[in-house]
Amino acid sequence: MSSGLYTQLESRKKLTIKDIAVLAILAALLFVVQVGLGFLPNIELVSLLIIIYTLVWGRQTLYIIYVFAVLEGLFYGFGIWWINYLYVWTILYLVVSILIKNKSLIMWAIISGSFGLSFGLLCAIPYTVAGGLGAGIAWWAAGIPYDIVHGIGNFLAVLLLFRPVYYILDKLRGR
Amino acid sequence: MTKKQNKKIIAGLLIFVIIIVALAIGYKVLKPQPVKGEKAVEITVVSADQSEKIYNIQTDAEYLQQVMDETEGLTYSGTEGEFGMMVDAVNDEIASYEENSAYWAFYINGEYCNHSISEQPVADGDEFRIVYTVGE
Repeated sequence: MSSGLYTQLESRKKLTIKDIAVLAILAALLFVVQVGLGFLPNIELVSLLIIIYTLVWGRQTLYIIYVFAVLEGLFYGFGIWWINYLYVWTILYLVVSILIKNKSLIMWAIISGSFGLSFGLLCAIPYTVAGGLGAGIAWWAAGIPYDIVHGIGNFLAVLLLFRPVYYILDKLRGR
Repeated sequence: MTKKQNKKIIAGLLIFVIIIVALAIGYKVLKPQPVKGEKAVEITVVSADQSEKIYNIQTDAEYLQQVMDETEGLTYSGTEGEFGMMVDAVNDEIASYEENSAYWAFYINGEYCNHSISEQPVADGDEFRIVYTVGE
């Protein structure tokens, strides 16, 4: 059975106490990694982890994403930026779910890198709704240099860390 | 790895690089350009008690931070962050996000500034407002 299909079937099972505990730890890990690297402009490992979580935990990754979003809101405050967290990571989850059969490391790096490049554009949506198209474009354009750093950072993070992190998390899943 | 897979990877890499180049060009085109020459600029500081202090400045500065540095009687301080300086205090009045979600919001001609003060270009006749704001 392909690991993608395995993951999809596993995801449909009811959550056990152990599952809930593990998912909470994974959400906490996401949060710690985000806060820990928060001082670096747009260098993050959240995208890498969400890609791997989706490959290993399938649909249950959505629980992790939303617990992570709540933790972020509680820590940084529930500003307009927080609305972004309700959909950007879910978009990454959906992309990975669609491409779950992919086995190429470099393709995951390209996917994560492209997500980083489009991050500003995706996050500009609430600002566009609040301030109009001009404000949204201005907000996005101002952040383009950070998006480029984000894209390249994500690309390299997957190339360097995907295999070891995937190995550890796959073991944790007990497969 | 098959030839077909190789082609897919090369195409993916190519698209990734093209997006980076397109973004860099987009930034160059879209980023507001600084204006050279003398300008008349107004800065209004709105404190927590809603009192206003207005500064009118003649300047050759190209960016807001330079104008603020030149403005007599206007002081500010802050911390350098991911997106430039985060201004914490204006005229010795501190806005603390940790304490009460307060921050100094910057507006240019009625619109929220999308750039940090070091990257916000200034044009003749611009009106800036620096407003003590309490977030929700």
